[in-house]
Amino acid sequence: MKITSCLPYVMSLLVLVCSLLQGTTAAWAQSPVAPAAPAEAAGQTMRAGIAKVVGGEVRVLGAQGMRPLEPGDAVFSGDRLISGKYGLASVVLRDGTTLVLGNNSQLQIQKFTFNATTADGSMLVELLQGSVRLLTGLMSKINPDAVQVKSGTLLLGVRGTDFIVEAEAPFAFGLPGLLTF
Amino acid sequence: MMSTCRAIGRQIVIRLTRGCLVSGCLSLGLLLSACAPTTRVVLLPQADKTASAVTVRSATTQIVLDVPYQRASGTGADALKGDTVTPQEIQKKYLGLFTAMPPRPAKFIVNFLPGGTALTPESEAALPKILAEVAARSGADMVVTGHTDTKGAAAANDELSLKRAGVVAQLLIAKGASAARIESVGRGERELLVNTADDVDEPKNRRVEIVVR
Repeated sequence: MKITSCLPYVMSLLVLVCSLLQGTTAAWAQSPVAPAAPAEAAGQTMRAGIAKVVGGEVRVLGAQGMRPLEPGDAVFSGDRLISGKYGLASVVLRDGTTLVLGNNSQLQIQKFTFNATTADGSMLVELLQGSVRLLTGLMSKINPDAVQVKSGTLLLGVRGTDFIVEAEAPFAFGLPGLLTF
Repeated sequence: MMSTCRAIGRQIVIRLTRGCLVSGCLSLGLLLSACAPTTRVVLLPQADKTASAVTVRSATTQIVLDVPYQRASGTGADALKGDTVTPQEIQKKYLGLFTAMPPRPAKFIVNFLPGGTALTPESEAALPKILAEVAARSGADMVVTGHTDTKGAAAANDELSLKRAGVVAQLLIAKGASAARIESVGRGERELLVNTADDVDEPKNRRVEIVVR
């Protein structure tokens, strides 16, 4: 077999291996989207936050499918925010935590719970691609360990702060339609 | 993860194509170096200059960023690396993360006339100003938080503070605010404006705060 003829097979195999391994790491981190319980889907879900500034194309993948994101829209625990090439969005969560999503980015709100009376809560957001800026809110003041950010295999603990996280795209050639749009 | 990646990849290549083993491993190395995404974390200064920190953890190493513009980078496969970047570099590279940042929240306090749910004349007059702030912001929402003094039981004060917040929320809705973008909260006696002992009548603590963001 010639080298040139087997290269495409090797390449596609590797992509497969890579995506499989990524899937495995995601499973370790208990990443899957938590589907909303039927009672919650009936309109009783408390929102996690509200979109503020939205520029370019930004969509949300939630329990009900994909929807465009507009200023003033609610976002929920479990939602994945996806920005296009020129997309930008900021979201203020109920406790005042501010998320700003950069271009070509994907951020999943894995978990958000907040009791407004006591200001207790916890949140985990995962940056899957691109960049995000995070400014912590009330829950982080009450319990510094309440806010966690995940990117790849790295886990960030946050103590009352403002910071940027960037995850460089795992594939230089991308997966059209899945990672970008 | 990188080594696992490589080992599994290699096995498959060996089994399937002995002939192109060498080229397979070469392209394997190239591709797998892109397998684990590189994460970079940069600490920004706090607007109020207070101390802050981010702890970045990989499976084997940990870096604490506690000075603005310190940066940690890594894939999780190797040890994390730390360096410092300049504010200009960061502003340029992540421009959108600065331009799309919403303005800082605006806070208003309203007080009640003694013994009822009617606002003081000054507070009543402040309502249009609050609504103007809402109108000026993209996707504005309000958190209306009631507070009590320390008179009475804590649980009763939770209820009372929520009731006061509800009164103010209704006033704002009556003047045109969107009910869907108001959250009423009762914080009871947890957040005193004037620190007092328990069971103290303090008018300044009986208040409702409205945060527009």
